[in-house]
Amino acid sequence: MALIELEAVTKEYQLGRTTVRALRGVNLQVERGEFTTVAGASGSGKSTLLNLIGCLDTPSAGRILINGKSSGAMRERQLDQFRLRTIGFIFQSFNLIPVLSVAENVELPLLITKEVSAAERKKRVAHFVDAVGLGTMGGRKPDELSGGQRQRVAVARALVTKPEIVLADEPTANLDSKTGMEIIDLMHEICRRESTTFLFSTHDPKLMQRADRIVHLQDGVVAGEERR
Amino acid sequence: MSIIFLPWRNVRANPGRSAALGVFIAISGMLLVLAHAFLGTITGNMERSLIDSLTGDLQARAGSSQEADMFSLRREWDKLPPLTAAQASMAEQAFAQAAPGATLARRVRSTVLLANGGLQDFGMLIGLDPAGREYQQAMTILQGRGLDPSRPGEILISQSQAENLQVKVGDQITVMVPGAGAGTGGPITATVAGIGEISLLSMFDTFYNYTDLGAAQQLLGYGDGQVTDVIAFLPPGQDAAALAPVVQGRASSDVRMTTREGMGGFILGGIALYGAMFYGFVAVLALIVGLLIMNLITMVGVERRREIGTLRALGYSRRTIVGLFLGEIAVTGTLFGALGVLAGIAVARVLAGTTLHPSPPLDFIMGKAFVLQVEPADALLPFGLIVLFTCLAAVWPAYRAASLRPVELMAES
Repeated sequence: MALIELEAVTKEYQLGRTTVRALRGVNLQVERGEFTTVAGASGSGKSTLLNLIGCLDTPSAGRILINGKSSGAMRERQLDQFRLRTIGFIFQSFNLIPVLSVAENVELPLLITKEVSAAERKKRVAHFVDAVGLGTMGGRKPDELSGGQRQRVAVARALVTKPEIVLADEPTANLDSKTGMEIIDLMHEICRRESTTFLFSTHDPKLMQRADRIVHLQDGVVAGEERR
Repeated sequence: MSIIFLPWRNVRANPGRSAALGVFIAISGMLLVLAHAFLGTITGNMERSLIDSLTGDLQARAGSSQEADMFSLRREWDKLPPLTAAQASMAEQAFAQAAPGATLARRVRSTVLLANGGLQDFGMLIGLDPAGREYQQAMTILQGRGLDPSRPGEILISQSQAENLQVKVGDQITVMVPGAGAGTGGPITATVAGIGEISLLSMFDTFYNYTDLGAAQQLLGYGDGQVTDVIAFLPPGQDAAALAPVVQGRASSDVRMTTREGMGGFILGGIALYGAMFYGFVAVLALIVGLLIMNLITMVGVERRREIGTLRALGYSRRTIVGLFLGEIAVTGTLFGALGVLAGIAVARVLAGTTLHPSPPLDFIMGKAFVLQVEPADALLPFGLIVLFTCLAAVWPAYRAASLRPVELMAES
């Protein structure tokens, strides 16, 4: 059984009187531990696809199964818990909390996880801050960091709950190409080391080449796939 | 870090935003303290006046007397059965044993008709020891003077009575018990020593007259030592309601003990209206504070869409985010509410050092000389209210802010 399964997923938006079909019957399977990119031009449906997989939105038609569970059957509280435990997010604009330090930002998802003790929390935060190469910067505030460093913090925050899936929507869009490449390499390395499934979107051909699998989206449909 | 520190971190990191809200909370807190102190003093003074002039803290009267409010009995005081001399002494002993520091006063009360030639007016006569300090404190003499213990047969009347009877200080009037039958002493003649009002209670349409105990006993034909009641003025801090059954236990069943609530309920109810005014003021203030806070929190919610959306995406529930918002508001409300309340106490303390002489119509409720009474404990209620209102006002906008769908944030990113 694939970790992520999309069955004929369609997503429509209402923009005034116009109905926008962002996804049109998408079928997709992602296996555990894959490092996959969703590639396509702006407006091709990449973000919509990631939002649906991340349980941030619901499909207009079709089914999304994660670990065999349909996200459509979950209530809001269950979805919150599901996101907390199963999915890590890396945002294009980093979305760090400015008043918190690097370590505190990384710790943020763990604060509402009852199963993790304070000692374990501290240990995990230190581990992941170290893993993204910011071991000496745990006490710094986001505005004291470069863009690349901020995105590293976001990567650590996405991983700290040890999720099965990490979703990253254009994680390098606000970074220069060298730093962007470093972030993708870091994600890839962690994917291998932690056996975490990564799914990220990009329209940068150079970054696509770093993925094990490329899913091409065009006008809301899967236009092709490449495995590397 | 614990999640409970997040609100504090946000407050500390955004002093400008917190101060914008906090200043308003502080001003509201200060106004509440001042309003609370003013109304507390006014109602306290009124209660004191009621106790001193009419009810005392505790009253012993004949066991067979009708148990009712003194004010509602105003036209039936002449029907009050008297305490015998022995019963009055027993009541005094019971008071002395149960409340050693209390000041006692024997009184004779009756509904009376005051007459000057063909002019008559209704009155409620209280005969007592003219040297008694308490009733003197409660009276505001407008013309003449108070009762002179060395001159029996004097009377104090109200301004309206003086106008109706067309008498002035020094004139003599006839005092009689309406429908007096056998057993009464018959009319007496009294000299008007002074014209005045019971301070702060004139709005309750009272017609009280004071005379010496002997004259009142003579009017009602009471034997030596017979009185209608013995009242006790308790030292500060003693609870009349708690003491009443103790005193009752020491007196016989022929004597009934009543507290001021039992005797002055009507007027106390009127005084309570002033308390209601305070809560009315609080309600208006709460509405204004509430609307402002709702507006500010809504703005904060808009300003922090990204943060809220991020937290929601990470798995924070709406309830948790509402809790974080309310935590911030509670921190701001507590800090600035405390500052405002302390400022209010400081201003009240300064005002308490000055005797105010209110002009009409304020003197109607504040008296001719007003000294603000303020205790630090007076700050507790306003402080609690301001924090509570602040938090309540924040619930709806916080809920709305937390209801942001994370996907909307993604669309904006």
